[in-house]
Amino acid sequence: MAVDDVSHLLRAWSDGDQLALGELTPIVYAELRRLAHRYMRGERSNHSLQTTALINEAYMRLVDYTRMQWQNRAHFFAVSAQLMRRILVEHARRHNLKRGRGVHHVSLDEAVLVGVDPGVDLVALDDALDTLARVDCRKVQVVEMRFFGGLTVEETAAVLKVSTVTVRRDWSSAKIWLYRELTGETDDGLGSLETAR
Amino acid sequence: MDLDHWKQLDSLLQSVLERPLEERDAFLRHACAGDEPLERRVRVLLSAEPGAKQFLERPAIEVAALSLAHDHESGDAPVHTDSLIGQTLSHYRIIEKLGGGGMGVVYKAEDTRLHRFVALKFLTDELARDREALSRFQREARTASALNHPNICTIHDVGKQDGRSFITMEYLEGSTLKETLAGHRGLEMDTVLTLGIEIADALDAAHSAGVIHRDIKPANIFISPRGRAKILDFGLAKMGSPIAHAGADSPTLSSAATEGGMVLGTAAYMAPEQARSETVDHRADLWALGLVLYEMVTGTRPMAAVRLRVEQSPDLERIIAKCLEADRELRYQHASDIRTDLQRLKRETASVPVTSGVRAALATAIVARWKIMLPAAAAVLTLSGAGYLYLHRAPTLTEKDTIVLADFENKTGDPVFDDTLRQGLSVQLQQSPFLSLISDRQVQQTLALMGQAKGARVTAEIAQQVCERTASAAVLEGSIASLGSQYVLGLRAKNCNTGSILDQEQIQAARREDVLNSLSEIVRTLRTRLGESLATVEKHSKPLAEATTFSLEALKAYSMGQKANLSSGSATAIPLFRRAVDIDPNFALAHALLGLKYSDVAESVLSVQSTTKAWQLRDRVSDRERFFIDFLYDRDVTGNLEKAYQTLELWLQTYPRGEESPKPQDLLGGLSTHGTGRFERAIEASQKEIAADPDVVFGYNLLASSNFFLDRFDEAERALQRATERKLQAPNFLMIRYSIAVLRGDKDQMDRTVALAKGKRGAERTVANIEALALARSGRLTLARQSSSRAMDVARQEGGSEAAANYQAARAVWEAVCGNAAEANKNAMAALELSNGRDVEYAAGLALALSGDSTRSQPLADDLEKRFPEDTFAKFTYVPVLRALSALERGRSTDSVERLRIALPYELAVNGLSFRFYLGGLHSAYVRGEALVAAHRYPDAAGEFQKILDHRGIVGADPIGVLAHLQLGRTFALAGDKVKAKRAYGDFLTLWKDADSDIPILVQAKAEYARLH
Repeated sequence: MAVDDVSHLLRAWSDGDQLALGELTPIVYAELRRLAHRYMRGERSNHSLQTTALINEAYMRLVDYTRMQWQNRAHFFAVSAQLMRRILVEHARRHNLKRGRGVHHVSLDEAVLVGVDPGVDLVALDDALDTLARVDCRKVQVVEMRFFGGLTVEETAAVLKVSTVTVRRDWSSAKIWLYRELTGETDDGLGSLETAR
Repeated sequence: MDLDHWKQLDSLLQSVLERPLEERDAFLRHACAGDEPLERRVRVLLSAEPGAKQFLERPAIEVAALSLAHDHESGDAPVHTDSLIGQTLSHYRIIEKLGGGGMGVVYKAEDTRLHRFVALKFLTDELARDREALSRFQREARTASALNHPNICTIHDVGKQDGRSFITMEYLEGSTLKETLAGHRGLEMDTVLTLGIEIADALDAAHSAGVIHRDIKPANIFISPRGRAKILDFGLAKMGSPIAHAGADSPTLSSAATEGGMVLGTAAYMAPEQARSETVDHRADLWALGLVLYEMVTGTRPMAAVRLRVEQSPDLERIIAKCLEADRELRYQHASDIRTDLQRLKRETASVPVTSGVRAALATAIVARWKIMLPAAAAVLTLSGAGYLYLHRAPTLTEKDTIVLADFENKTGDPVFDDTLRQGLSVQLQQSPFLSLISDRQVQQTLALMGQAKGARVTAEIAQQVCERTASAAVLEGSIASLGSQYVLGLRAKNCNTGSILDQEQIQAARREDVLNSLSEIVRTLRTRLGESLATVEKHSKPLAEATTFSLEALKAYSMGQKANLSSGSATAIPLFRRAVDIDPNFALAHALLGLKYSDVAESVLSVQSTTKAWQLRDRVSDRERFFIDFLYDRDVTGNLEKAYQTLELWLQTYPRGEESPKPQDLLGGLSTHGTGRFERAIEASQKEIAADPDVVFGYNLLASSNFFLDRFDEAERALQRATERKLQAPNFLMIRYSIAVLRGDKDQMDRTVALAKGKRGAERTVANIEALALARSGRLTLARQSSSRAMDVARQEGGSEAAANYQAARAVWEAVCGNAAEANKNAMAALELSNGRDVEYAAGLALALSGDSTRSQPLADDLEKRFPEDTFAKFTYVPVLRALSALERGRSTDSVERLRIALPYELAVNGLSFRFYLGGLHSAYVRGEALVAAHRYPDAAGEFQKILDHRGIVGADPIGVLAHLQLGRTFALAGDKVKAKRAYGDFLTLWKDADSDIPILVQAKAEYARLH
């Protein structure tokens, strides 16, 4: 897959061409499968530099912006982070369905088996982000770029044209709120925005 | 969502987080200064902080990859390389591949709108390229989709996206008969007979509809987990079979024909005449059914050399042999005959409910419980050798079962009990979320299929047959007799497959007045005995006197009204419902149905009265009925369509199985979806309504109109065509057909439709009004006025004064847009004399405002605002448009644009005028365009006029659909774009080439055009 093609498709998608998404999806899936394959071969035991490199490599292959002719870097990052969100959430939704899993289910045994911290239910996360977007768009952007787009704090700050302090603050408070939404203790429901009126 | 609260909460949280742990508590208490709720919220979030530390620290793609990797390791389904999986076509999200055959590939998918699973079938690539095969695929799917039978896999939809055609059908769980038979040496006799009866009944229904399967075989018969048969691939098999393509030269066939007509290989289930490639009729399916029956009993297919032999039952052997007559003239001639013979055999032999073997294994969903066997199942007792009552495992009903109500046997001689008790019973049982009744409409349909007269009494025997045909679980029979001055009421629930009695209740009523109460009482007992939990019975059981009426006479009038409505429509039902509320003025449901019927016949004032009354009494009704009343009140009284729509969806969620009319599925196709722009939802609902009952006019009407409003004229026509094929008629059909012809410029079709409408009640005037619009649309105002006058005259003759007022107000509007201020004024005032209905007031106000008379239009806007504060049309379209025109008149163009902003969300929905085709929609865009021109925002203005040109269905035959060209030309001219301006003026002048020459707007347009050169 030539990088230029991805770039072209990304641009088409951001211009509202929904068909482009259909073409981008298999590219991301291929990368996803490649990663999964590496994990299966035992490259999952410890999360070392190797893993980090692997992930970075994946993002680079997908959205290597340095070689693209984008007038606006921020726009490009925003679009690619959104793209990853769309595709990965879609993947998770399908996956959940196939496995007959409840939407809010975070599989602990799975996390133990593969030796990582508790997994994240991407579908529930997506819903929670939609809720958050109604009151705080920037936090959602920060989460999109950091988590879905794989950007560092510094990169995110540069893209959003805010200070790194702001990104850090947004990131930590968004994580707390989202974590609370996803762990779903509705004992008093006070963590929910819906009841914060 | 409260933005300020969130900001406060968030900034506080961040401040706390920046502080060392030990200071946080004090800081928080100080900062919140006694605002306890706020403090609590922050603390709740803080408690999540430790957990959130590592949260989201790994990138999403890694999370996804890890879970994928885990799947692999646990040995589950491999990652699909199939490119379709994960994609969304139309609104179906493809989940996994279910299988593939010679003709196509089948996927499991999620319907993202209805949140249910469906199966999508695609043609193989090879066939998809074959144009003829493709069109046959679509045609056959359409034929098959007309089949509505519990034992036939339902076709929901035929779709096409990205050049791929697919069929959407019911997603079935279970396995095919082929899989079920594998590894078994035949099924239990009872199972064979049950499945055989179901398959024969399905074939009978299909053959009656003119559809032949042509490929009946175990692989095409699905067995649900509850042991029910479903035939797959109806109408589709035809094209996949060699007959359709290769004829007798097909290699699979040439070697396959053997003596005795038995065939082997892939063509194993083909009838001899089919294998010889002769013309095939429905009897080929009967042959195949014979083979399937044989295979079910023996587990193997009959071999050519082996004599057909069914050791277990010589009777069944005879039936199978008669199916397998090589000469089709000697075969069974109809599937119904096979069904009858199988049923008879089943009655004679069976009666021992199967508790072991395949069927029981399949029927794991059935909750069995210990229960006392009643004497009526004596056959069982004899067979099992026990001569007295004994404990026996008899399954009660499950939540998936439906039941059929028989008419009460009235032995009292008092006619007031006819119908009344059945109606009362039905009202009582409908409160149950557990039980589901076969609707009266379905009963009538089934009676028709059985050759019974319309409105025939549903005796116990007939109910038994209806029960079998509708694959229901039980029949409920009731009786009433007098005992001196007292009454004895009896109820009996009978399993219609086995004949066993599920429950039997009896009660005495001391007086005639107590009968309804007594009925309520035994129904409660019956419900629990049939398997409903005590909790839901407690929760949903208002006594009849409260849920409906204490009066037998009122209930009688009500049930007659329901019957009349079903058989001959709204107009005949009205006096009966009227009588019911005259006898018992607190009969809420009767008021509601009266309101609904009045609105069906466009009597809005009376409809509002009755619906309001029902709403005031709504505490007296059951939950299910309250949904209906709430919906109706919002649709017809407050006009809050968003709320009306939400109520329908909630109603449907709460009672997804309701079959009794009025039901949310049917109402979803109408004003609440149309008026909020949810046309796709309306289409879906109408299609379901049609599938449930192909002989009801509304479904087609709404299916056609939703498609029309979405510019899908071919689809709209197809819906009308389907209605015509079933000999259904409605004024609206002609109205939509005429509008399509106008937009296509199909003069012949327009003339034909006018001729068809002539003399037909309702149709002549509606078509004449659109004819007036169409004539005005091409500038022939003199003729348009004649048509409009005719529409009004006929409306008045028919007693529809509100319709006449709407026609006149519509006329005022087109006079105004053409620049005839005096005519506009005259007609607007005359319309207001006739009616102060919401739509009339708006249209008259619009005409006055467009003619620059806002001193008279503003009071109308005030009145609309006051009378209809919640009304979707008034609030989002009518009032803003009138206010915007007034602002424009005073030279405040920016204010005008601003006031129209609120109209945007519903701009591409219909309003009260366009829903009934009095006028088209998008006048808001027209006015906005003018305001933007006045504000010198030319590109934006051009966008608005272009919007009108781009939404032909929403605008319909309305003259603004043509005048938008002129306005576009004016906008371009002002913007200095001469080329585009000339083209747009040219478009307009061409469309108005036959126009009356003295129309003000035309005179101006010509002068402006001349100046462009």
